[in-house]
Amino acid sequence: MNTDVSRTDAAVEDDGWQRLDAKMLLIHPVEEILKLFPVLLGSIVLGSSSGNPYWGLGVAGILVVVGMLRWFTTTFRVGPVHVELRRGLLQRRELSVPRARIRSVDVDRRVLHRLLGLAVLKIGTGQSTSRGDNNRFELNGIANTDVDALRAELLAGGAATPTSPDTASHPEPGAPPVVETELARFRPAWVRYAPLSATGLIGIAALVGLAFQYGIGERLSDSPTVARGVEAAEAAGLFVVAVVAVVVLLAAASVIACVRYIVLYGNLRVTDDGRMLRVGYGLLRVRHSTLDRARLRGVVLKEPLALRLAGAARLDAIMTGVAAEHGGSSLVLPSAPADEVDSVAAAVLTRNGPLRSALVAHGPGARRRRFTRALVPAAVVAAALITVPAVLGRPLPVAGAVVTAAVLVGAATALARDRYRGLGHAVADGCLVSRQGSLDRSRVCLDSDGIIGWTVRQSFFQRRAGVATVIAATPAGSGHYEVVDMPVAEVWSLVESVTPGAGDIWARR
Amino acid sequence: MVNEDAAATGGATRDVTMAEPAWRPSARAPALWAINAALMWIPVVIAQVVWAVLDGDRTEAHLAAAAATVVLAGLHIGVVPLWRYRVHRWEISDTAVYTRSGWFTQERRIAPISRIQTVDTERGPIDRWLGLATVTVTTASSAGAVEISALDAEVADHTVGRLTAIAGRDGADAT
Repeated sequence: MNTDVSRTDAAVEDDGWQRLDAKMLLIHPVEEILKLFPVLLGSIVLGSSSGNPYWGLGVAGILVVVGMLRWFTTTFRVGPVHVELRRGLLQRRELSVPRARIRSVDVDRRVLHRLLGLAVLKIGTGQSTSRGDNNRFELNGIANTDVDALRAELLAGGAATPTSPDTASHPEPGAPPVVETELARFRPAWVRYAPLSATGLIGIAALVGLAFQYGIGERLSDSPTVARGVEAAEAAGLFVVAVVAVVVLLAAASVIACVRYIVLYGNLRVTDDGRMLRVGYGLLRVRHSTLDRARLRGVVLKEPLALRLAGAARLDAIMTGVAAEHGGSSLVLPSAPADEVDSVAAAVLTRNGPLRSALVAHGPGARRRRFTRALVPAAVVAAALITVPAVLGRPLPVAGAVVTAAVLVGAATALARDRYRGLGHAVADGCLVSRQGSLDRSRVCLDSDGIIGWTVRQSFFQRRAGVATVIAATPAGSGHYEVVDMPVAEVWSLVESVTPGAGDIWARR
Repeated sequence: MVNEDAAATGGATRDVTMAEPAWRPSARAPALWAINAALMWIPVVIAQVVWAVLDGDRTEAHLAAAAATVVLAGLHIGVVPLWRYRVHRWEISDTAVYTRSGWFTQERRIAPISRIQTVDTERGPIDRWLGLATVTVTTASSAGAVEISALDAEVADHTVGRLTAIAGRDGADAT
């Protein structure tokens, strides 16, 4: 690393250090104020209660100065070997990334950035995933006109180094422009799947939490309108109120989910030029991510129960250097019709064997475990619901107890059956395919090239049931993908058929 | 990208079994695990003594808590280390590291040496006192780290030397 802190700023400028776009002088203060909005609100409240209105102004002034200083203290340089970034007000940070290590350059335009014609370039190396936010390499504030050139320059540094052999068949960077095909495009009809996720409910919960945190909730619940509402509710009876409340809640959640879906994923476009997949989406905040095929290690089809019943699914890519937990940047398709997701997944994988192949079921041991794991908690809850009122001296009526137990056991049985039906694995076209779950079912297709180690795990109960969980370790995506509860006798056969030779000297055929 | 072998067999190979890794950890490993377990129980015992001193009226509750502590701690300190010692095995070939570990939940873990990124040795105060060390082999995957625990110090040093020598010979990018 070429770092000499004692040099003056002027000298540093001469070495090719650049500042970010000067319009960030407007954006940083606003973002700073938004980030510390609670503090500002607190200081305004404090100011008005202590009779000194300058409190709020003073804090806002400090935030504006801090925001502007961010621009003055941030510089970056694209050198021949490294890309370097210096930032930090009190705690100076110098980040340096070898250009050959750059795995991805994502472009993110938040609302303010779009208004001023700027973008954030996020540089992914795959190394930073284990560290905190502070080590993220992002160039916050590049003019739109420079984005494409800079991105191409940054990515070219990676392409110049020898990569895995499968890139050799793809066109060289200097070759004539490659044909870009469109894999998918946003359709307004997809919005119908948005209410089927929990995002709306989560949004409402967040709003309610926020309202109570700032004391708005208490004021609302004390207001005469609410009091009148409570009176009306008491008159209407508990059951009616519960039904109305659920309907209103679901309707509001659906609206929020739809709006969120459109704002977040509107204008979605997925294209493929043979070397790179490009995914761009967003109405207000626009994001463009580039998924390098050389780093693609598979796909995850997410089919949670509600989406599955509606014939829809989501699609994520498994990328080396993109941690799945952070979400977003490996997204390929949000909730969309299952056949559309299927065809895009096949295009991303360049083959549809892993998607079509029939899965091997995991047999009676796994089936028994699904049932015990669903029925035992259900039985415990049912027993508690029936015995606790009885112990407290107010036993449930017999019919109520029977219905409660029947509903719980019935739901648990259905869940267990669906979980078993979902469970399965296959080896197809050099992919390990694994499916699991019911409420949160997902189907993973992981390239065998991407697997760099195996773990076979058995708990005490799994040993008794004769099943084992196989975990494929990979540097891509979430880092590990599991085949749950497969018969223990077939475990190493699976490992050997996915990655021949993985058993090394210990494998016995 | 397509793996011909795997594509051809299509997961039909059903007859592969796996030998167990051959080598055991140090004979002092159970002592290490027992001491570590005992250290974990010290705060619990202290908390119970403090509780008994501050609130000495409820004799039955104190006796029940003490009995539970004695039984659980006894199992954790007396039985678990021996169980663990029966399970723990490891072996290194010229191309792979293979371990078996755990007690209630047991894991077999195998990683090719060509994918190794770092080899670390870890020696806590009690490890040093007993002359033991733990070797951790990390790969590019967060889930792929292989830990060989409670080895004799000289065995650990020899293992680290051997692993780094093999990994250095390959010299490929381990991602």
